[in-house]
Amino acid sequence: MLRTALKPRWLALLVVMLLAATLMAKLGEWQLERAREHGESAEQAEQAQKSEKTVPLNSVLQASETFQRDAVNTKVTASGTWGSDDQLLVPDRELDGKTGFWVLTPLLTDDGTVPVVRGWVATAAEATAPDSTRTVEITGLLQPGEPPVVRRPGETSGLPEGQIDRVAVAQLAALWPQPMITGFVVLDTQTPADANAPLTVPPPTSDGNLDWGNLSYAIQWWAFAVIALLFWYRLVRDDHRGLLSKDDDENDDENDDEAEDDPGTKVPTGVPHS
Amino acid sequence: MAGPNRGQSLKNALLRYRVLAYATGVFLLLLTLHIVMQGFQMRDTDLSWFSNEGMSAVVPGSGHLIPMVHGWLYLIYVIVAVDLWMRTRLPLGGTILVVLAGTIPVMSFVAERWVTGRVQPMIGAVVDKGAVKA
Repeated sequence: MLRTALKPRWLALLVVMLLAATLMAKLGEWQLERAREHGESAEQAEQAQKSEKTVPLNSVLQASETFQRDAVNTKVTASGTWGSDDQLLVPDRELDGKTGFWVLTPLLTDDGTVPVVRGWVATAAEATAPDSTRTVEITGLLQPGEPPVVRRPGETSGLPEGQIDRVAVAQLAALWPQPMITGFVVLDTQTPADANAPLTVPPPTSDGNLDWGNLSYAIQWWAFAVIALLFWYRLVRDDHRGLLSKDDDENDDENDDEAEDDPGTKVPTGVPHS
Repeated sequence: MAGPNRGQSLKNALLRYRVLAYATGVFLLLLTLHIVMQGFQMRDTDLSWFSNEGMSAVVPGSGHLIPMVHGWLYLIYVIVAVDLWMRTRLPLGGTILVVLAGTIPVMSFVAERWVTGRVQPMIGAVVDKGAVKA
């Protein structure tokens, strides 16, 4: 068996298979890394919310820049003035099992407009406008924009004036000053604080499905690596037992590669075990 | 191994391969649709391509399920394709194409036709031989 395995053609194939298996194992490792990152993201949101560590928003996401997944749940700081007149309410949002509204206010910063969920109110009447005359410093978790509701041309959300059904950046862009960041911040703290601030919205829970997806891919890559090596083993074993066709054996001695693709030799030997 | 048994096991191997070829093919089409939808959604969401919800917009959760199911189906597809090759020794180059076909939309259906067209006569030959012996 060992002598069969040491034939040049099987050694060459072993090198190819080992390279392929190594590459696939690496890909599996990379997917496992991603699975870990994603799995941690829900926990991360909670951790980030609690942690004191913040980064300036403009170091993570510039206005009009595409939102990168790594930026999700970063605890950011920003300073600017509230665009109180442009404040919107987002209906059908839950807090502690009660359905109410998110209060969505643009924060006008030197780097552009930042959509901020300032908090939650039970009824639309409870939402008050923040003081827009002074500069405030805020911290909060950065989130990607929500997907907009797709409507036919001319169709409207049917919501009252001043309400929007999603925190969709494309829709907000039509209403608020440009440039704007392509995500939003869920407010944690504000200094100086507003007297009638709405209730703080807790960090959103990330969907746990993602890590399972990546974990699946990791396992699959490793399985492919194992298959590649088993495939090589099986070929060598068949050769050792003399199960490969005569032409294949002759190839070894004569280094004649052409016969390998000759379909004529394959059909009669197509059933090696019979 | 006796002729009829061998014919039967070859038949089973072919059936396994064909079932997986169809299942993988269907899920690959769904996966393609999912990715294309993610591309279209990019225009509205400002998210990077694969951060979009894709098919989840139509069937909640399917955006995660489809890639995962296709991944597992493809793994089994590769195993049954290699298994079938072990039993039939179809041309190696063609078999490699058959394995790769599971990653290219529609091609696994073409591969299934090629494999079935070649393996059916083998099954016929084995069964005939067995019948003569009996």
